[in-house]
Amino acid sequence: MHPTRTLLAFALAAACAPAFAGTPIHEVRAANRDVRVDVSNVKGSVTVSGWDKPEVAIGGTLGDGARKLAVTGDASHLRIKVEAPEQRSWFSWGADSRMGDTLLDIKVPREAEMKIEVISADVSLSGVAGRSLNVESVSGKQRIDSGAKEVEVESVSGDIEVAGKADRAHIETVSGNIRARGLGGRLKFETVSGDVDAENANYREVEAGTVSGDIELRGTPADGARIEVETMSGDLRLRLPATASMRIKASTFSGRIRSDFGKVEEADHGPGSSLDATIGDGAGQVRIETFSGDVDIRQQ
Amino acid sequence: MNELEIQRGLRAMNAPREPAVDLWQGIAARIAAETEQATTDAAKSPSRRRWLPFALAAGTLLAATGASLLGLRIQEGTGIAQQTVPLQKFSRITPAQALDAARAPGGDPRLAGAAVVLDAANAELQQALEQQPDAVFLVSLLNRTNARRMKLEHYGARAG
Repeated sequence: MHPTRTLLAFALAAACAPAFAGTPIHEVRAANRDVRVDVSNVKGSVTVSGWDKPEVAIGGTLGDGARKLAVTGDASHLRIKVEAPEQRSWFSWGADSRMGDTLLDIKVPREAEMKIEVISADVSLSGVAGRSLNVESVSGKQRIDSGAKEVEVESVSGDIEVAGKADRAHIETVSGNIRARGLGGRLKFETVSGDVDAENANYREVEAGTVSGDIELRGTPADGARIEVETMSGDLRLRLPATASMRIKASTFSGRIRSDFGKVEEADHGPGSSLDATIGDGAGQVRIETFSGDVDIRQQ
Repeated sequence: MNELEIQRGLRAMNAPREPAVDLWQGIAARIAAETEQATTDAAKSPSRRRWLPFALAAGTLLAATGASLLGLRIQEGTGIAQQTVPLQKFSRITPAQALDAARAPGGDPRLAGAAVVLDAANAELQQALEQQPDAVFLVSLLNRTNARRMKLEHYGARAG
């Protein structure tokens, strides 16, 4: 082939191609202090961090085969979306398999309200303390350190790590594990087979429920706090400070209860046991019910 | 034996008699043992690891489905050759695995594993409820599990 024709062919191919492997991303948009930012990425990663500038900056690389990075909206509500090769649906096993990882590195004002949707992309977020944070994932791992007042994080099979100072947090998975640190206020942890490991500070309410996942709860409850745990076959380990003021009621159909507080009542015939104990003034409430899961309540 | 001796014999029979061997202790012990065994078996039945075979089957199927969808591009030497894996390679998929594939919401294999976990959890909760029908918390767990299954179907509906 003639060298000029070869060059022209390459130039034409380059002009027609929608995106190349690792196409760099550099987008900046003006944003309000409390802007709402929606992010959607199927595979790769989403890394969000807060800064003091009144703008949203998007860096990273667009994955091979992705159609484009769409940035729409205005200073009060910005939408950032990695568009897959086929736009018939949000995600598609066939199309996603042909698409490379897109890595998004996003900087937002510290008080931004975030909503992130991913499929297998990992999510990492820190330094953002807006009104609310909402993250949905199928199999990606999530590492969240947020000062948002309301936190809603869910996953199907991906693990979730959450830290922060939320007034209200709801963390939910099917088989992914949950690890929570430092959360206060009203907390809700739900899994089917995933484990829950939570060490919380000054919490007013904890609701935890699993079918077969184990639960470990530690930390300091606020005065008059309420703890409710339900499992089918998952075990519970509850650690309470000696200074806690709680009325504890626990029962299991066929599991075992061990407790540093009160006296465990064993059934006369067959398995199963229950506990009704009071620590201090009994201002708070602990209710535990399992079917075959063991319960271990200890002074921390 | 005259009539007087017969009457004396009848009078002697009109009194409580202790059996030579106390049968009740044996009967009670057997009942207790059977009850304990039944309760233990019932309690052990919803083991959390019970869906492990289902999860393994789903994992195998997931790999097989993924491989067939991708056509298994195999790199050979310096060039890249596309090799179609013969169908008979996957002929060992069992009916149970085929059922798992059908269960993948939206036909997306990434959601198949969760569907298996949720369906197994649903079945085990129902078994537990049969043994402890007054357990309101089990109904609550069952409702949550069903809600998650619905959400998974919702995901599947959004998949192409």
